[in-house]
Amino acid sequence: MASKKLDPRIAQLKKLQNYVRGSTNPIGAMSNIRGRVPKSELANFVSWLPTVRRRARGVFSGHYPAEISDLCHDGALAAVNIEREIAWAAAIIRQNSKPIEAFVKLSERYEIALVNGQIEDCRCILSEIELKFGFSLWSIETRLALLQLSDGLEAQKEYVLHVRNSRANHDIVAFLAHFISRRNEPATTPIRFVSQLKEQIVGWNPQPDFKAYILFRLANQPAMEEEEFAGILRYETCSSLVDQYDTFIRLGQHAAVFGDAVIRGHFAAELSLIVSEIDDERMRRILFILTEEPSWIDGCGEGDIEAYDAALNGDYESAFEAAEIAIKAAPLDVDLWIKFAEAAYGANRQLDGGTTLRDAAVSNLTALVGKREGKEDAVIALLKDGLNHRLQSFAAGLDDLVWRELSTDSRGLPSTVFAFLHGRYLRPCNIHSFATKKQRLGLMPLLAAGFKSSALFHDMIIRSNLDAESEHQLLGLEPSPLVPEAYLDARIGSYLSQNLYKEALSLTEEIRLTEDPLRRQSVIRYVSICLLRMERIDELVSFVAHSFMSSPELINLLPISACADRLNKDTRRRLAGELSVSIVLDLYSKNFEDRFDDIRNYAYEDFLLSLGLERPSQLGHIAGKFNLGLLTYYLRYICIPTVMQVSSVFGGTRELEEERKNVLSILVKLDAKNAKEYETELRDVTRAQMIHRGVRQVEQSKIYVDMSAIRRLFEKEHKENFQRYQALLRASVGKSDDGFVEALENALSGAPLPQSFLEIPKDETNDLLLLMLGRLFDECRGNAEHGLDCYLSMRIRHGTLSGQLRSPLEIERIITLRAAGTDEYESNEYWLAFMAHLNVDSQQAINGRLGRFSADYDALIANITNNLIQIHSAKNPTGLFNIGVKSVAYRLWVTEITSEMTFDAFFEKCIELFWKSVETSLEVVRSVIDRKLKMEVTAMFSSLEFEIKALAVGGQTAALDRAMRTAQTGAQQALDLVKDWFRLSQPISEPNFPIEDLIDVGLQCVRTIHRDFDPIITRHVAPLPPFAGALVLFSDIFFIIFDNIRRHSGVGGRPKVSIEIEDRGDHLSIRTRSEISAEASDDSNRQKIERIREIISGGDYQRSVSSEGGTGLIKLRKLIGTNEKKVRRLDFGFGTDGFFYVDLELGKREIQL
Amino acid sequence: MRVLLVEDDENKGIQLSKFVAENFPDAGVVLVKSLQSGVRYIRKNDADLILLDMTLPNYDAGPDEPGGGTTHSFGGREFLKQMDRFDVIIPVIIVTQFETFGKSPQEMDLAELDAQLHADHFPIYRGSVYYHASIHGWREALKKLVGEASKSQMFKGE
Repeated sequence: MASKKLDPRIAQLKKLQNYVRGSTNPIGAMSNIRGRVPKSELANFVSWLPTVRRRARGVFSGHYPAEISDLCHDGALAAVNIEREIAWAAAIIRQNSKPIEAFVKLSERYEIALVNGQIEDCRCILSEIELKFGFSLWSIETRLALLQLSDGLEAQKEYVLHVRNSRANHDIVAFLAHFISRRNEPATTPIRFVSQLKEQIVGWNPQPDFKAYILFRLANQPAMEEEEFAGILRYETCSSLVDQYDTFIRLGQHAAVFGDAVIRGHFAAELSLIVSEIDDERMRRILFILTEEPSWIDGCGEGDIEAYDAALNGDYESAFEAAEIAIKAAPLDVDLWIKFAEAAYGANRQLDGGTTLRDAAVSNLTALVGKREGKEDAVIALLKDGLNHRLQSFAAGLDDLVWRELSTDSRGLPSTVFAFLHGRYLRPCNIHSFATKKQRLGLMPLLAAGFKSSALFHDMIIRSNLDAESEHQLLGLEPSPLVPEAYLDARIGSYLSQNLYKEALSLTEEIRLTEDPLRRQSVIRYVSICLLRMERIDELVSFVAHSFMSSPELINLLPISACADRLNKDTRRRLAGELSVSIVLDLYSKNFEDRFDDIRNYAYEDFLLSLGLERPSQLGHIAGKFNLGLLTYYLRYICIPTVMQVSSVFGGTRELEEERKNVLSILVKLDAKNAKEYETELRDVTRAQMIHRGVRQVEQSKIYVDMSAIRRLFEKEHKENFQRYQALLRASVGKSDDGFVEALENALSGAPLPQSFLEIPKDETNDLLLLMLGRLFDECRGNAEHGLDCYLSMRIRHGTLSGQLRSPLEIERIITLRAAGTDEYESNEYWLAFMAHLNVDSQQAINGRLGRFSADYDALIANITNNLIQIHSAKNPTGLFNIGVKSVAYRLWVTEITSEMTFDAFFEKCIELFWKSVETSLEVVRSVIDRKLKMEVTAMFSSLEFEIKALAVGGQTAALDRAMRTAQTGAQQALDLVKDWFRLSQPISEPNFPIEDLIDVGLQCVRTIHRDFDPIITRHVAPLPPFAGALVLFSDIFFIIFDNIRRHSGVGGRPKVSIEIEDRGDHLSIRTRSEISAEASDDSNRQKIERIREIISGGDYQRSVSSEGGTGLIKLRKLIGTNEKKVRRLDFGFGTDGFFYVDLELGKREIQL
Repeated sequence: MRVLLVEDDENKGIQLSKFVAENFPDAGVVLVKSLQSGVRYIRKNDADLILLDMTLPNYDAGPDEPGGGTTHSFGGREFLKQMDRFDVIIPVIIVTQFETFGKSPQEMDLAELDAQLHADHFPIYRGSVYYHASIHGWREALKKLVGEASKSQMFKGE
């Protein structure tokens, strides 16, 4: 008997079935061969698969995970092409159509309960879904959103912990739950979450399809490419049935919006088979978009349009009432929520906020639609609702409204199509959702049947320009259901749909002055679209600027970005005389990004140049020539230092600030209603200038000698000697400078000086002068409390120089600190984390090299402070301050000392000579910085970079390389700043400073070096007159206090500090309390403080102030004790409440109240 | 030949002035020390060649602000933009002692910056030289670029 020959496709199917049946790992076998099953037999194959079981477990047992740990238990199946992936998912769905339909119904019940605020019902329904269909990514995400909404952050975090504990490490379910939880946190902003997630994903470097899956699951990002569609479906093959279905539907929606013809065709083919087995309106909507066949949506529910009709004709009261009633009957009709919000705005009704998710959404929608105060928060809240509850149908509607409201031209947005695909009712306005005329015309009979006499239907027919082509001729229909203004509005829409922008623009004139607030917004949109499409940029720029001035709340409607894009050089040149140009560019900068900031700045100046002016303050005389609103904006927001600094008219920041003050003075008159703000800014600028001046004076006073103290000492010891010297001079005892001046003049003419003049003559008069001068120089150089060395120590060597030079390296994390109690530097954990891709030996070697570099760099700083920035002496032979007088200079100087001069004049002459000598040393220091230290630093970095390259053995260290180079640049710039310290103070008349400003000067001196130090300061300052001549003393005191807090508080850059200053008669009492960490107040630190206290009470502090590496407290002791017979109080220590206190007294005599 | 040198670093300014004097004895050098001084100069005066630093302070350093106000990491680029704004056509060579510019994510190295400047400002922009006080290579590189610039059509000097 001849055997019956099997159809080859059936034979292939049988063969593959046998392969799976015979396999010990049927899921693996299924995965291997699912791409080889004939397409026509795929459904049969899938329906057969459940018969294969191993150890009482079927191949599809993962469809209904009983526990969270069962979810995605088996890995995703092997990849197949997009056609098969879609067919595979569809076959599974069809095989399980009954339970899926039950899920669809339950999930709808869940959503109704959710928007109605029936939280307990939500919990029950969700539990029922999990019980019937098992756990799913859908149920986890839905529960996280519910918990965040109903019970808050703690509850959802607890649940996500439960999910994580149910899963293994490095698990996709735990991973997704973690990120969904983060996304749902109240403080997370949706747009930032999505952008940060995208950045993070780039760092993970995943396969493109997995990246698409993550973005789809966590950020609701649509699939766009074939590979992404296939990948997302494949990753769901191991998940629950609920997830496979939900994802399939969502991808079908993505295909309808973004898919190419191939993908659209595959989805259309499979969905048309499923749609008859599962009652889910979403499928019918997708099929309508994919096939343009209106029968798919025949039978979709008709939405209530009473509110729409009323609103369209401007009757917002009726619209409000109608919408309120209709929502009760159709709680998931998100279009009605929106109409309710519009009506509330139009009717100026205040919504009470309510308690449900929908109430909150409507309240936010009202703020957004009305562009009311708080609309930015409303946008975030709506986007957050849309993302957190993305699995619910209302989410797409909320998203769409946000994007439409934030667009000038909202026609054709993808979000509108998604809103339709998720929608639950049909209305004439759905016509907006469709890209093709065929779709729109196809929908007409359906809409006409239910809505023919409605205003909305008429509006849409006209607006979409379908009147002539449809069988529903409307223009002759009387009476028209549209009021005249609504009709004109629809006609404008009609022109726009035909790209007849000139006609549309002309018609906007007729409704430009409408009193309908929503129509007013529409008019702004229409005009913007028309001018933009016709490329009438000059008018558009002017329109945008003027519209913003009259209604700043409507900024999101204006095409600011498009305008800015079109302001090229030629256009800007043509429009240079228009204030609008810089205003539009400034609006772009404030609302979008900073890429046009430079041309905004140019436009600022171009406007002035076009008028033949240089400075904006010159506009004050001709202000009447300009639109007041535009001019006020220009002066207020654009004529600010950061913009004006583009102009080469100004010679420095001070000039810029003065110009800003002039501008503010004009604004006080031009814009009287905001005068207080301008006056406040004027005061702020003036105060900032004064503080800056104070800081500069302090910075320029690093090379300092307390000359008044030295003068007192000198006078006490040498006034009598000076009188004796003058007597000797008068008696001409040993006076031997005869002929010196003449000889000097000859020398300047080229003749050599006689040898005798090169030596200091040995005689009594001269010896006495030398004695006085020598003593004075000794005091000026080395007096422990008042001399140059003391101030070099306090203002340069003690931490300041180190801070300045280390700062750029610390910012780049190139340098670490020496570990406590050892000579070893701490491991550079920051860069180690970046070197995970290198082998362990390389990592350790590089880490070690960075440690050595830290040691070398600190050694360089130590060399500068310990050896170079020192008074030259036998003890410090490398000190660069070699202060003395050459004999020729001395002899020239002596000629100016007369027997008639006063002691004060003599002292001034001596000091003049001292500073001349210091100046010579300062030149040497600057030269050493330029010629030696800069090169040493360069060499250190070059060596570091070279060796790290070698140690990486070919591995990538690009980020570290960049950091090293940036740090090198910063180090060179820091050396330049340090170099600037080594200049003599310029005599600057010191203004009188209020005590509050003196505190800020001290703080700013620290922040100049450590910019991340920004303490939170509270002040209680007694009423005191401004201080004269106290700047340097106070800034020294507060510098030390703040720098100590920065270094020792242990609570980061924002410690809390309180400062109390009281007037106590002959002295001031200054009390600071600063927050400290527990570690900062441990036993060892308490012992240190005790030792310092002992040093001070033992009177040994005078020796300590010139040594570095000690404590600022000792230096404080020195500062407040100046010239006081009575020792002023200095107390410090640990409070009982986590604070460190410093109490000190300051005599008023020193601060010249 | 009139050379405008826009350079805030004292030593580098001296070195570059020496370089011009040695290699182009007839050339006159005008030194300005900030971005705005440079812009002010080119708006009012002519030059045949500009040697331009990349990282520049906005203003000349002075007692009131020793750093010269805001330091522009891309000050040279800003200068070129201002030349474009005022239609100033003079060949420009960047001479910089830094290898990286700006802060992440705008950070770029000299090669990237050179490519960008060529794209945005050619033919005014003629190239860049990495200057290092202790390495002599910059002199040859700069000499070559000056030679090339002097052959360009916009070069007016002799």
